[in-house]
Amino acid sequence: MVASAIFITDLTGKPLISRNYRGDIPLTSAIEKFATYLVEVEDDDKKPVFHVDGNGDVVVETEEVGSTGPGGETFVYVQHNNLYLCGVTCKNSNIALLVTFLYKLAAVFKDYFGTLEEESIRDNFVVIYELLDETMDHGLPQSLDSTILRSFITQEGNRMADDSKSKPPVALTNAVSWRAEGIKHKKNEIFLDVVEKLNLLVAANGTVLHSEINGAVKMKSFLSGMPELKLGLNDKLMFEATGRANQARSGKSVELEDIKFHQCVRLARFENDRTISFIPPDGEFDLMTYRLDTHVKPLIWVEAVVEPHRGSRIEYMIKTRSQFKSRSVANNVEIIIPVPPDVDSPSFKSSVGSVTYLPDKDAVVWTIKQFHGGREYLMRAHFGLPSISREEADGEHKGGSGGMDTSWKKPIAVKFEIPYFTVSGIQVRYLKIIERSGYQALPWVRYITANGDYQLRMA
Amino acid sequence: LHSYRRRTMATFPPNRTSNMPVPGGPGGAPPPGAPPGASSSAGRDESYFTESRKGEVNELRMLLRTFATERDKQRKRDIMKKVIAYMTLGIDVSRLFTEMMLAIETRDLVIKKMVYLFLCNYAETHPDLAQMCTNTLVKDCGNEDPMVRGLALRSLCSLRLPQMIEYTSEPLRRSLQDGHAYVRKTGVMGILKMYHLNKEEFDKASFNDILYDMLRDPDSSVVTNCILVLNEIMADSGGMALNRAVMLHLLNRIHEFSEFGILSVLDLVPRYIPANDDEGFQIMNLLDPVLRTANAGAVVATIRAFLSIADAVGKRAGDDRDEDSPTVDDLKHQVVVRIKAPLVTLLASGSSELTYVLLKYVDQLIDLCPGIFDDEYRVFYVRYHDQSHIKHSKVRILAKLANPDNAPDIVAELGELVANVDEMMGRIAVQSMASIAMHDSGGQGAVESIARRLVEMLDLHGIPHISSEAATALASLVRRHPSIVSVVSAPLPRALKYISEPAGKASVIFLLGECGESIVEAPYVLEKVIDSYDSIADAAVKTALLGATVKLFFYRPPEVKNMLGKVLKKATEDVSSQDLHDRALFYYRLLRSSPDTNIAKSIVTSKSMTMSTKHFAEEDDSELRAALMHEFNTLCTIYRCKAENFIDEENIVKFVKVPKEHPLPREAPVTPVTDPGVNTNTNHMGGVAMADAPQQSVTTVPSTVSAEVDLLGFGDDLSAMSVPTPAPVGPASLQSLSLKSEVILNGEDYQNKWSSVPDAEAVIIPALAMSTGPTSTDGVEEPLKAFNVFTMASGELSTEFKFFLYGQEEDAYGGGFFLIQAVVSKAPFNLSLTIKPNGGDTNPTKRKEKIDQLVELIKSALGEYFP
Repeated sequence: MVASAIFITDLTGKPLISRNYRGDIPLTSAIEKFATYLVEVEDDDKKPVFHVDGNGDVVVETEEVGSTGPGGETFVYVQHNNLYLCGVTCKNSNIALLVTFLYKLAAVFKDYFGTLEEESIRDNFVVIYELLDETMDHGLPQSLDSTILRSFITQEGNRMADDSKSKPPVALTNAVSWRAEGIKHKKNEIFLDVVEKLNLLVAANGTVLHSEINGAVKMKSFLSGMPELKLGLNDKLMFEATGRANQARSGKSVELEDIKFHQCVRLARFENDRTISFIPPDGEFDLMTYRLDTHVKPLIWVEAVVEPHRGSRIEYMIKTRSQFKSRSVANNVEIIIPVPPDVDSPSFKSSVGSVTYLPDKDAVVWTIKQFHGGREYLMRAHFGLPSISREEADGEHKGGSGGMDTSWKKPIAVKFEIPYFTVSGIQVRYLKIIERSGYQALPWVRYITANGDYQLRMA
Repeated sequence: LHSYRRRTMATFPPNRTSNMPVPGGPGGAPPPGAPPGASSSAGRDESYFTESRKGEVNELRMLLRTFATERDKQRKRDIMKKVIAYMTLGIDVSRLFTEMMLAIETRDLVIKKMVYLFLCNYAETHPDLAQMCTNTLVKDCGNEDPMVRGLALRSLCSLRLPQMIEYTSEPLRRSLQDGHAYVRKTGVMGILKMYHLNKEEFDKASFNDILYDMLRDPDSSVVTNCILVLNEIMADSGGMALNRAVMLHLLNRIHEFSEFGILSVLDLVPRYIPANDDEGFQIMNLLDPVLRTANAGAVVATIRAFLSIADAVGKRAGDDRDEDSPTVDDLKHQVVVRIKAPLVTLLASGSSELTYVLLKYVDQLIDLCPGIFDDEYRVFYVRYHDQSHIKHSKVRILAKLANPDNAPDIVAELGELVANVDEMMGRIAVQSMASIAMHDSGGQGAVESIARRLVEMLDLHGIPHISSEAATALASLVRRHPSIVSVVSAPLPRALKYISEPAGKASVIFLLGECGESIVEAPYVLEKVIDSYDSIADAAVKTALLGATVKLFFYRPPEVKNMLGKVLKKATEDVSSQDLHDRALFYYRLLRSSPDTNIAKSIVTSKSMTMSTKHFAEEDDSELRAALMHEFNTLCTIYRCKAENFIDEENIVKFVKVPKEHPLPREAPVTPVTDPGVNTNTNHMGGVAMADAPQQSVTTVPSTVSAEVDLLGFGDDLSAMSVPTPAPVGPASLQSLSLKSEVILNGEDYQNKWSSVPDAEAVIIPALAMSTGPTSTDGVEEPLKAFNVFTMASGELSTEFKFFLYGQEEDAYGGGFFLIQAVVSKAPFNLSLTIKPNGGDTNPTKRKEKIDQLVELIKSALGEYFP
């Protein structure tokens, strides 16, 4: 991958900061072209990778790339809050890598500034230049590990003093490139969060079209020295590999479909006997992510009956049911029901929780603070409709498309959080921490299941 | 962590920073008395970012003038920061160049960094002033702090001033030997910058060999940069020169690389042709764990590497390999099966930009191995919040995933999307549905049920673009499956009235012609259209009208005769479209000239329009797809376009695969070789058969000393021993070195002796230029034998000869062994030696002397090849 330049702009394409690594493209005009793209191309036609041909014209349709002959540049951009991070290249670069790089860069900035937005960019020009220089040299990616980068960055000069030499960045020459030596914590603790997000797509007729679990084991490590960690999960394949077929069969184990690890995990070891062993980086990181593509009973089920009476009113009857064990509780459940844009005078009746109408989002939100397992609740909503619907009013120039506009029939979305529970049934069996100095470290483990992309289509 | 955050949150303007105590910072205490004007209370100092007035730059200049006398470091830094902030905001502060450069002599690295930044930014516009700073930069390249050395070097190389080249090459050369990896890696990158600045000077400096040597650097980030740089400076000759030893050396170290560094190695793999099948599989096993990393770039690069290996080791048609070995297609199939789960995970967890890119890759992989992603079709269901380009990609992919099992689900899902508010989305959904029918991928009855759905859509007069799209789809479908005519015909006359889009209208008219036999009112609806011929703007509609009328004429001559005359007249007089005009004339002449209408009928109504293949000719892009597969994981995949069509010629790199042919016979046992000169670390990858080289290679060496021994398993036919070349005139004068004429050493001993000498003690003589080269290994072995340098093993590769040689001193001189690895590369001819002394003199200077003499001896023995 070769990036000619990297720049950051606000949402209108106004440049905030830029670095021209190779000098093989005119950067100022490139940024102008990017701004033109943002302004002139329809939102629906925008793509994260686009080409500007040799004449400087934006090629909107990817199929047309190359139709005006060779030359020009390709822009790759990712959005982060109210910013765009954009890379430009004039070579046939590896795009997956460039995108990953930009994400990673955003993560590094975020790590440094807390939040990454226009304000934090403006407040940190000098650090950003330093970071841009250390993460990429001459358009080729260098070090992107924020813990390691810290040893390079002079940020406010704290590490630098007239009377003391800057310490050479130890980690760079180290085999453990993600952890510096000599880390000390007063209290040796490690926090482990198993977070599972449930993606669900239910068709209007109630059949589950797609369900999958995206899990992550997140860690916050505050351990001194160079600790060796070993994590034991109730992984079915691990039980089988170690000859504990009984446990594998007993149903207490989980078959993880595809696992991805942080670079600190010894992959060969895992391939061999499925042991997860690693030296953790200091601070926060995602140890592993996994995916399960199993049929899951929707944890929170929602049924909606809608009765529109054209020109007068529309009535909703919403039924929701929690389909998990009664000792678990779902917190802060929000059921978001879309309604037509032109409704008025809302009235609600619900057996539990509170209901609010959000006109700016054209939706009704039914909030249930605590939703115990195995319960069922009902909510009714009633709205007035104007006597002439908006479609009819617009209908004239749409060539008689009246009645066909179903844009308000978005899917129902549900948000929830169930602590002390994992849908997949994954469990941490042990977390062993061994360090030369032999200190006792405390591991803390939490489980949580939350909604991912959780949608139920409305009939 | 906490204190860190506070530090990083310190912000412009300076009044805020100065109010914030900096924990653990140097100097500690806040500046005595806040600077005047910087004590403004809450909120932002707006003037900081408002448009500059000239006065402000002048104000800065005044501040900078006080710089030398300013004693407080924090205030100094704040002044600098202000300059940088102005620069970033696009205000031209280049007028401050002189003042800034006065500040370059500082011991404060923070200030230094900022001055360097300023310098790099304005050097191109102020070359003369910049040149004056060279001395400081060069001096800093020798600073005792590696951070400063690295920084100075990077800045020096980034000035982009061609006239500075002469100052850069020396510090660069020194940096490559630096004790600190940070400086070395910066130096390597500096070489690339020099290359782009001035190629001639770069050639003179001849850094290439050093870079190749540095591939053995103990620090992986240096190695990464070496690979990246070599690839770029060797782009004209197809990328970094690669041989088996280098490739395997890098692969054996792959676990040391950072998540981005690993990419540099992964990108080399597709260029390497494995020595034989087993080696190919070993490489795949070695790389397999990379698929578990969270870095999407690395995962995709691994996929590309796998596919390329499959290409190299798989069996092709006409291949004489044994029956059992898998074919290229089988292997690729296996590869795609293996990478499916990791890709799907990335898709499910990726953010929208990454998903967009990955969907393009998946699309291409499906084309490569149809059927593999079929069972994951639900992943490609459209989510409400997906961006429209992602929705579009998904819907196109869904059509390719259809098989008899899932087609009902997929078609139903597509049906849901047709009425989508996004017009494009609806169109693509219809096209995808049609494509399932066109490819017959839906199984029994699918074609008819899809046709029925399309007919329903034709009647969706509320959504004009869908009716039109459905009509177009049906027109294609009728050509592929003529049997659906009965399903299609009924609603056509109605549809003609309300379909307004030209493409759709043309399709309906075409269909009316095709189904003319079974639609009673066909001539009458067409007649109305003909009557309004002059108001039709679109040529496609007119052409369809002409075609349909002619066809209809043969089915029902009496009804259509008049219409035909009208339309032929209109069309022949129509000058708006050449094609239409010519067609009309053609039909006219055909009808007029054929005495028997049956001939004309057989021409016009022949069923040759019916397709027997699944594609239209213009859709068959197998050639393009194959070409794109070679450039998988680049922009080509995103754009579905070959690189030469959209990349400037000078920016195109055509990588060459090496070695050109299999150096090993396919049956030969694999003997993975790492360069013996390289000390590979213990292999974390466990279980992978890429062990250290010498142990393994030596097992194939018989214990007797013989020139035929094939140490590397290169498998050359060495049995035909040629007549020894005449011995040269006699050894050059030797004082302290005298070699025994008979040495007994077997392979194992050789091996032990080699590995007992640490690599650090090896003497490496790189690339002695030769005028010509030997034609076979004997050409080297025989002359050396005459000088008592013997061969343990040798072999020929396509690009080089390789020898493992040895010699022993006379006992009187110490009796030490010299183990030599000699490589004669073929193009251009040159000789590299790695010599390890074993036993004998321990005095380093004497040892050095002996080795020097040994080199001279080898050179004189091979005198015929040297100029």
